[in-house]
Amino acid sequence: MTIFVRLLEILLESFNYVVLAYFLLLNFFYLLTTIFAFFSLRSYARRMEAVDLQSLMAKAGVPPVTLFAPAYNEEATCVESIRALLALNYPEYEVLVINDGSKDSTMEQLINAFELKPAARYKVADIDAAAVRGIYRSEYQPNLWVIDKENGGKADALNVGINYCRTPLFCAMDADSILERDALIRIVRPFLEDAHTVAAGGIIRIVNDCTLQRGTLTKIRLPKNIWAKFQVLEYLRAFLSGRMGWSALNATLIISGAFGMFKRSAVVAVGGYAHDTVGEDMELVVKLHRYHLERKLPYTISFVPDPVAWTECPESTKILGRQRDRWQRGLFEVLSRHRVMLFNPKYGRIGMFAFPYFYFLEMLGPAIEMPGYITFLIAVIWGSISYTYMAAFFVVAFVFGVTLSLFSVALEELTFRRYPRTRDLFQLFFLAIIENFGYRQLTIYWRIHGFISALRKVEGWGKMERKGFATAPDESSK
Amino acid sequence: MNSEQFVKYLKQFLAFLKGLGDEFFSYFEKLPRLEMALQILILTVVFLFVLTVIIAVGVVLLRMKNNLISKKYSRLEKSWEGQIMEILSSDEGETPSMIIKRKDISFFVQYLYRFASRLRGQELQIIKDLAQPYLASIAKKLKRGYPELRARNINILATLGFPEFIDPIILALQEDVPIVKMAAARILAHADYPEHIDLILPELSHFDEWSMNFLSSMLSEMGPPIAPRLREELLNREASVRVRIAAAEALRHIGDLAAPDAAVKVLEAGDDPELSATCLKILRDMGTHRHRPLLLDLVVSPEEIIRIHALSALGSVGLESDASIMLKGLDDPSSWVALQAARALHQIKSTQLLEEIAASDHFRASIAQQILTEVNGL
Repeated sequence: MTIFVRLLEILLESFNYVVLAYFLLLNFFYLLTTIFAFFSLRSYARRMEAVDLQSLMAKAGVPPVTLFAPAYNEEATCVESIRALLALNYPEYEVLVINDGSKDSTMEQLINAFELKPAARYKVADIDAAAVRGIYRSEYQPNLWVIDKENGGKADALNVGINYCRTPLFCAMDADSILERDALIRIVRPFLEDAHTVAAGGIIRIVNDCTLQRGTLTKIRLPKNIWAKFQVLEYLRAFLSGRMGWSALNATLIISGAFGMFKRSAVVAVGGYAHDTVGEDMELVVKLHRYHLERKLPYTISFVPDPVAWTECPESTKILGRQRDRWQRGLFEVLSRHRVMLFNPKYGRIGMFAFPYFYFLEMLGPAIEMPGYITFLIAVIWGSISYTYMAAFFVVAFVFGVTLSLFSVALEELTFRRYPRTRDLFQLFFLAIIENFGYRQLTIYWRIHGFISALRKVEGWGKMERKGFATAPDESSK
Repeated sequence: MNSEQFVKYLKQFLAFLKGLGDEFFSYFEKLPRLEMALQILILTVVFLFVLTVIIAVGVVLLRMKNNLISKKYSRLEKSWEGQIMEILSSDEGETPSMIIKRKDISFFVQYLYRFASRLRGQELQIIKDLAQPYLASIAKKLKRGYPELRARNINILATLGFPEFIDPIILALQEDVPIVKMAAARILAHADYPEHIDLILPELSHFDEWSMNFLSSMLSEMGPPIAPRLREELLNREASVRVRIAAAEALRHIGDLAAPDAAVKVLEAGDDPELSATCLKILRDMGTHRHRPLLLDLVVSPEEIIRIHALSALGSVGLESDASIMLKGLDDPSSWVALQAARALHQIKSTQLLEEIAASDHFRASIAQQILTEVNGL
């Protein structure tokens, strides 16, 4: 019995060390990316001051692009979103809406709103995808095409888009997202300045309770819903500190499916999006890294912090939980599939640095963190750790979390200042504190759930409900 | 203070720091393990808490500062706008000067720069005159500061002080910093100064990372007078392929009628496929029937990119009798080649043939349908 107890004690202590190491490493990476993000953002903001976007559009020979807007049951927002896409500030682009076998009235709404008529369009690539039911083109917007296809999921819809894409670059996004008017020219800029660029990701911001008028955001504010508010802070942290930092380290591993620009030929070369994962956006980026590194081809994948896609986020814990579950499953599937890159020097800093971070700290993280809370508690009850020590440890974790969140708010204030109301700024401060009491633990729970779902090979996206955009009355129509 | 004294003080300072460090660590060494961990944790909390407060206060101060600056500048802009509008609408021959406080000069010039982008002709000249007294200080800043600021100042000088301030911009072209170099190159590539081509071409190889579209459209801004120099560069086998492609693309944008002959020479030499493709685009846009024999050879090239552009060029210079070549192109395993072949069929007026294919069960029938839709509308 004593041996058993001793063994248990050793196990408990060892696991606590694992948790401690995890905590230190994770926060080291957060700190590192935040520091890199700071310098990178500062330099980016200066660079943008030196760039004249209008002149860039008029004289720089910007390449034509195709915007893919895959839509599945998007009747609430699709017409408004497509109108916004058609009003973008870019010299030459096509909008390709891919209706992924919607069961609601998405297709009918599109046909009526844009006077769609059947049209012929030839496939220029042959990536495996579900059958196309019909191709339509707008009578009064010649750059708007709609492809109606059998349901096959978002990756499948994007692959259909790639098959019909005739421009050197394409932009993958969600049909329910709103791109800012200059977003395309801003996200194309890396392709102009570096001919080796194969992909660039933009920033995602939360549109809930912001006001939209004729496809343009006219009033930006924090959402009223508390869950949506937490997500605003989370997105600031993830994009301004996380992705910007990783991009500065030349190790961008994720480009959000809601807004990314890709070189068509490079994506065709890697076989397009994977159908069998819910993390198809990350999978594509990892595949692009792998393809170029294995062939020793020069390439760049970057994150650009100012082209913005505004998107609606979940406002209930039920939907939010599903989303996080899906993200974690996606992460698990992608990293497991490309495990060969882990600590493989052939893949340079991606294999030796970025991949291990995502593998051990992001993918396996929740599986360490949640049991960590429990074993920590057991160890305290057992008496092997003092209450004071535990309290001090949690206070460090808490204050560090707040510091990083505030740093992201500071980065936002230093650069883009999208939330002009001072009240919103103070709300962000407050959120940085209170998110540690419940919200963070919930996200860990959802991520553990996703981790288990991935182990059980659960498939599917889970339903996402949209409430639609808040639109201001159109003054010109009065 | 001489160097010996300095070294002495430095040593003393380092010794002081070492003493502090030793004391700090020996304090912790003496503690039991758990106690030490706890004290480190407490110190970390204190440090992070102070940092958090500093960040929060910093953000608030930054917001206040930004708001104040924004208010101040919108007030200044409003008053400047009123004065400028008055000057623009007055009939006085000479532009009066505006009195600007020293600390507001940089912002005033930036304001004029933004204002100038909306104007042309006489109105632009008035804005340039208003900026004139302050541009020398901007020119001085081209030599210092961070690269992005220097690039911005180059753009300001180009808009408000060109050609008076051309010399510092030429100097900036020789810099090693890509963003400054590119800003200068874009300004110097000006239609009124074709002689700048000799400054720009040697620097083009330094813009390896910039997209080809970007480089070629920059060169084509200079217009037809630079065409002979570009043709020279296109034929120069010592030059890098990228520079030659940029020259070829620029010739095409300019519409240089002598470019097809140069393009033929390059195609006959069988250079890099991308360079050949660019030359084929020249033949597509400016070629004639006499280029047909060469194109007929190239439509069967093993390189997909060459077949695509050869068919495209053949579509514009070919004859109806070339329909059989295009039909073969339709069977090409590459859909891009097939698409170009169908387009070429339409271009040589073989639309009926295209309609027949569209109505048949030919495996490329949908390509024919697409081209017909593109041509005839929905």
